[in-house]
Amino acid sequence: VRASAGHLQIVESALRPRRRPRLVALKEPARRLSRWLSEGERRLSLLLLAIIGASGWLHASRSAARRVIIRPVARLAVSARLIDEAEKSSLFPALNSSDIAFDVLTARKSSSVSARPVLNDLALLPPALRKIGVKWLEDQSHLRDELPRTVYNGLVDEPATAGTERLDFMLLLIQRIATGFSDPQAMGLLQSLWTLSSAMPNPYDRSSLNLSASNALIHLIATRPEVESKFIEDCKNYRGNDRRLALDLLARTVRRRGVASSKSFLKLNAAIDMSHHETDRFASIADVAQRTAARSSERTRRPEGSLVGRSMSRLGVAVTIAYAPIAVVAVLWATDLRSPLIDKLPFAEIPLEVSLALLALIATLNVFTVQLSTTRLPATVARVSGQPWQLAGAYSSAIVLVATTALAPEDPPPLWQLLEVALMVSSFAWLGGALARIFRRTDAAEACKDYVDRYIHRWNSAGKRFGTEQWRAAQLSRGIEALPFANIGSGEILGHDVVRIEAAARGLFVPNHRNLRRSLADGFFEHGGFLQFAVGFGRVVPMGDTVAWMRPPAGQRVQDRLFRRLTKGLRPRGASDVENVSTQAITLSSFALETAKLGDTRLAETIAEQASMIVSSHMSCIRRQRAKLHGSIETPLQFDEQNALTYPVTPVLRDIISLVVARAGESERVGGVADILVARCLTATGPSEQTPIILASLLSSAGPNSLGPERFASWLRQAGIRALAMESDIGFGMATQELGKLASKGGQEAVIALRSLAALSAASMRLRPSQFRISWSEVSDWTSSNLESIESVRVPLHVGSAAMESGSFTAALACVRSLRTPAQRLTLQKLTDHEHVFIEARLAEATGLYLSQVPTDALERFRDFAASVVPAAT
Amino acid sequence: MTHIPVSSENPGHVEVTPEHRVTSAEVLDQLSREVSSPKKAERALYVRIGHYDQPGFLNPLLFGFWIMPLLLSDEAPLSVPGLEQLGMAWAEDELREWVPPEELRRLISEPGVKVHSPNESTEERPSLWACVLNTSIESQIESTLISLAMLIERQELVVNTRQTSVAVLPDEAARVDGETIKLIGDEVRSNGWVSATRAIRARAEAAGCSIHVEYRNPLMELHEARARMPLTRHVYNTLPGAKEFIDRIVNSLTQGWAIAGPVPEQLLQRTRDMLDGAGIPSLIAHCVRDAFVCGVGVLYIGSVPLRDPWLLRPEEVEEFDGNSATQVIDGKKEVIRPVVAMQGASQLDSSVALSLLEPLVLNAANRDLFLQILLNTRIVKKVGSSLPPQVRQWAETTEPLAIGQLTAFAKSDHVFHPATLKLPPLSKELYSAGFELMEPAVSRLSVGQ
Repeated sequence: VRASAGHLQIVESALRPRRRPRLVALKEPARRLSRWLSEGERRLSLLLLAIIGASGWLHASRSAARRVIIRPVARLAVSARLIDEAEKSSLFPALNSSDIAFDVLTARKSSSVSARPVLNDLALLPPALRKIGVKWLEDQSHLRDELPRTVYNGLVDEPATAGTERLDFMLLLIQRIATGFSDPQAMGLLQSLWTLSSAMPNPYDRSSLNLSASNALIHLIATRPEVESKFIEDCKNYRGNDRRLALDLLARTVRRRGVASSKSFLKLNAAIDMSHHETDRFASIADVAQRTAARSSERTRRPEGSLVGRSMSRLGVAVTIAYAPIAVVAVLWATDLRSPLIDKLPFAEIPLEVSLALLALIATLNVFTVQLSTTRLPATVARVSGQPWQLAGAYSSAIVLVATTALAPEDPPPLWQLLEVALMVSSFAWLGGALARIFRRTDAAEACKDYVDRYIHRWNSAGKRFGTEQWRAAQLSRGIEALPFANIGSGEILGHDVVRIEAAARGLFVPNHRNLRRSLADGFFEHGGFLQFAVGFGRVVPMGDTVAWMRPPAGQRVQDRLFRRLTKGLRPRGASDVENVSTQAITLSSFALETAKLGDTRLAETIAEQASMIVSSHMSCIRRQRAKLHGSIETPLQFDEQNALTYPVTPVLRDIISLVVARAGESERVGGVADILVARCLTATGPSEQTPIILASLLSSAGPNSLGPERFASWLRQAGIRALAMESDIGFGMATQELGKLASKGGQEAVIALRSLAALSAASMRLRPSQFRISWSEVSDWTSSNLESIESVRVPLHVGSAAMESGSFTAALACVRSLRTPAQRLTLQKLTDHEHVFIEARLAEATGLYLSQVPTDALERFRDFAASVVPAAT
Repeated sequence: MTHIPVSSENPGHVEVTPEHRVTSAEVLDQLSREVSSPKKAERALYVRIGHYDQPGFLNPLLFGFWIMPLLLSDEAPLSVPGLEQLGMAWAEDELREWVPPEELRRLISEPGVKVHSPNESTEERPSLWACVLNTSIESQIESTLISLAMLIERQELVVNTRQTSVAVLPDEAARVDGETIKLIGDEVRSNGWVSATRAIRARAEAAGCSIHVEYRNPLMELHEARARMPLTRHVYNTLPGAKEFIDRIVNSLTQGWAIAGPVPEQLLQRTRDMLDGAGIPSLIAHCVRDAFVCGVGVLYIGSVPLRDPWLLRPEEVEEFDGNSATQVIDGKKEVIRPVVAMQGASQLDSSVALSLLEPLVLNAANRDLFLQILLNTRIVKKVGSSLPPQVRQWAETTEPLAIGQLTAFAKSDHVFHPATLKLPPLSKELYSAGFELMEPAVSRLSVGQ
């Protein structure tokens, strides 16, 4: 059946390859250059503006000079980024009409001696200039003393006549000069600012003053203690909307206090009786939790092994092997080179037997050393360690020597005997070198290092190829998802008419793009045929596994031609190089674990480091390649978002982690080595690898008993923290959930799990505040069912103190709320009294919580906060 | 014995990739051409299909809906016979269970708005089918075909059952709908959608009408979208559940912000202080509500810190991007920047954004209708004996129907994403005092000619 043109178009729209030429690689350097240039331009413009301001001729002949200079000044102001390009047009009238615009732009000292006219002039400038004007006014030292009085008069005595612009401007100024008011002035301002900010707001009104007034009020309260205490008193008398607004404003003053914010928060909480709901709102507004996101989450480290080193070592081996045959050719060619000195030297002729014996000796030694290494080292490592490159030199010289003795010319050239002797000596020298090398490599750590050095390039290039395949797979699966008659999913289709397509060989399942496009464009799919892929693209499939099902339209059967074509297109690609990386990493890791089991921890750790190097180098090649290809993708202009691609799991990562999880419980020493591998796997990978999720799910199926609750919890904690850093909420959720399960077992295990959960809660406050409630809900689940345990008080105490110190007052409030019974509150008092508070501080430190520089103070602050909060029951 | 996982078994928000958009448009374009009748019959149905891209807050099982264009924007206030004698206070008391008094007063005494029913279409004014882009293409095809088939079936039903009783009409309609869903679904799955289009065309011919479908984006131009803002505000203000749904999302999107980013922490702190100081959290709540209810919400922030930021009225916004917006007041254009702009649902090939409540306009109109019916039946009951027996009979049979429908509307949250019900509860003071309901809104919606 032929397909219609419409069907072809549908397939084409989903599966058209979208690539852009490689020019993208130049984009980043170009952007950096232009940023550097524009920064230079900005500085130069600022300098020129300052020069114009400093040279007195601006005011000398006003009208003439001004007309000349308006344009340059405006242009400089734009290129100095003082003024936005779009607001340039509003600049000309301002520069035309007033001196003050020039003064502000060129940072000149004001010629006026009184603050009032300056204020009036500034308030009339366009908004963009007014913003700079505030800063400029701050620098006018001769007006500074007068400003508070002027602003006070303007706001308190004559607000009605001031006009909106002037009011705005003065409200903004209060933030800069709040310390300059006298006490009565400050009190007077408090009244008038409160009147302004508590007026009924209209969000659609262009000229409302509520928010600027509240802002000014907050500054005033935060800088003047006497105003603050007056406002707190007032606040107690307010009702309804006014009280809510006043509490909000007070909560916002807490945030202005920096490191003292927890003290201020505590003070306000104790001073004002707040209801349950009010406390919640107060804490959430006072919350200072906002955190710097990890900038380098997608950055990759450099792969190991440099290109120069690699080519140098190849060249070295080539020279070592080739110089002996070249010497023979040179001697044969240089027939007329004769030196009396050489003639006199008594060279013995070397018989064929000797040269053969030499060759045999080398071979025997080679076999012997390899055999020797194999008994101690894994086979692949042994092969490398038993055959240093010097051996190649020895073989080369010995074989050439055999050739020269066996096939000596009738009339040997003058240097022939010298050559034979030299070959013999060099052969021995190489052999000696090789033996020295081999003896050094009897150290297993050295052997492993040599092994990794030799093959790292191969593994890197495997990573590069795999990265390309993964990217292609992700692209292709998006196209397939968009088609109505094809689907990717594990749901099995069964039926008499359904045809199964199986993998023709073991390998990486990435369908051939062109073949797939042609196959899907067949009329078969237009009339009800359906193709379901059973395996996600980019996975390694074993031979004979089902990769797809094909269902024909009702009453038809699948044509052989189409079936053959699809089978061919869906043939997995060879993945031996990728799987080899996995095998080698596993070999080295299990060797390291084996060594640790025998007792040599240092050696085991060195080997584990080598194994982890394979993983990290391979992974970074994969990630770099994917990032490079993703940068080259063409996105049509109308779709401006960059959808992140999801990539399949990388085999080496999964294999290493599952090995380590399976064996870490064998002994304490093995566990220590496993720690190194896990830590490296977590740090070497980015968000798209989802390592925390892999680790957490493998740990979940292994269970805490297989590797001991301590290590189980510690790994989950590491996974959780890494998940926070990479913004993977699912990973974090899985880690905390597992810890919650561990906690529910009770006994010592619960304590271990709670410590980890406490650490995760504290980390989430600093790294990703939105995730706090996820980890905290696991803690509170446990505490609510173990109310009488001392841990049900201790964990909230520790986490709550850490929360207060990091300014996460919502989190601190949640901790307080989890102390429900009077007995718990009593325990809290006891834990923080003079005798116990030092022990608690130590314990918190051991858990991995940071409680500021004086931990005992932090604990006591939390206790006081808990005392000031109304218990939930009342 | 064939099992294919269909979309309904595998719900979830589909990620809209560029491939997905291009292919969706292509497929629906093909579909519209395939399903259209070659010749115009006496009775012709005109349908226009367009894509509606919802931002993920609506139920992922919402595959599409009919949009009803405005028919009459100034319908006269209701005249309810018998109400003058009984008085407004009586009516308010009688219907207190179903509608707040203030709303009932507006419903009766203020002019209303009439919209087209999907069953009436002309060549100039086709019925509009909005196909939700965020569903898999299989479901887009299936749901669009089913809705077209239903349109034809319902026409049939209306023509054939003129004489039968109105009371059984809902049951009859439900039966026909069920049959159509099954029929079209099976056809699509076993013979492909192209074959299903032929079946629909044939069905239309058998029913003596022709169907003319066109795929064209956008669903609404700017002036149309603007004219609908009072309608969707009415949905927000009156339809039970709608306000709570929007407010919950607004609450979780705009309150309790924690700012994070790859810059020094001090800068983040200062940024948040500036945002809070400028009252952005409460203004952004208004802005997001405008966006979800009216399609577009724009907040001007260029005056910070000199002056308070303020909101642009959605009706005045002509176009906007991430950084600037064009405001039109009395025909005068002004470019405003910088702004924070939000949009509700978007359309393909157009920057005009639509309301998230658009799928609920029909519900709100029906609720208004049943409120009127209920009021009438109550009046009949009260006045009682002086009326002819047919009228009393009508009131007897219709009241349970109206109550049943109103009960259904009172908990109609199936259009929203189930996850929104799990969002944290509202903090009471989300919006400025006096702006809890949205204005200007229409007072009453009615459907049909």
